[in-house]
Amino acid sequence: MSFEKIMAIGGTGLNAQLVRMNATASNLANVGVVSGTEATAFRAQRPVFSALLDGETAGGYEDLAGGVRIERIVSDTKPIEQIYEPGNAMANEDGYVFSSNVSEIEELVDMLDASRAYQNNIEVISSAKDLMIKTLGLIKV
Amino acid sequence: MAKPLDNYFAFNHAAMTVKSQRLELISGNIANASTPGFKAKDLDFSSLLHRSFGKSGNGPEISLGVTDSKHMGHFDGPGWTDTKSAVTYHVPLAPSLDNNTVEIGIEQARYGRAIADYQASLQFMEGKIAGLRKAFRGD
Repeated sequence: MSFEKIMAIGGTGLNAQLVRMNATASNLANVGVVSGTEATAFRAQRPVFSALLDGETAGGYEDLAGGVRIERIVSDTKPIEQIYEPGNAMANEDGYVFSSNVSEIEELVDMLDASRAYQNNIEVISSAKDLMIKTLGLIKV
Repeated sequence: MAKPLDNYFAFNHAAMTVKSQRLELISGNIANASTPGFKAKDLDFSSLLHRSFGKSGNGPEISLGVTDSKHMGHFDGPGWTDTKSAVTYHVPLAPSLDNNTVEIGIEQARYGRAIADYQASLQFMEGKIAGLRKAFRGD
């Protein structure tokens, strides 16, 4: 029956948006992190979503076609800023530290978008649940 | 074997199945609202219904002959349960940078409409069941 599937699809959406919000929280927490080298500097993490196609499984669950999954998590490619701070314990021999490339504004906007999308999926699930209950009520007519 | 009850409910059964599959597709669109390159889908309800019930929409004039218990009756066939061929794609009002064609406001409206459609079918079904019960009671 497809109402369970609607809920499962809504569930994949909730999961994806939750991962996105987790990534945003991590990015915001690391906004002021500095590092001694460019390679180890914190880069904003972004989950990349992809649609689940027919016959694909996600997390051991089958038949979630139409849902969404997290394909991978990529690092933001924005350039790392180099700051001259010889007093910093993390500074390299030239006195530079490398700050994270997290933009607070971008993260907050992303968080807003993720939470709205999360709410949309909740709405989908609760509407499907209402319809399911109403359909089951047919036997009492 | 004649199945009077099957035929009595066939239209509503088909309509509710297709409508719940439409809900499923739209819920997939909403779940994929932030998936790059995702194409929003919908179901062409009228073409599905025509395929199942002929142009009149009043139910099948002729039902298929069944000579073996493993044969599929008219309403168990792939006619209306196979919704894959009736899937359509939205043309977005405005293109997006990541080629995602889900427009969330439109999807929400569509989902609301689909739910109302399903509830309408449900009401017809309730009416039919109530009528049937009345006939059974005979009062």
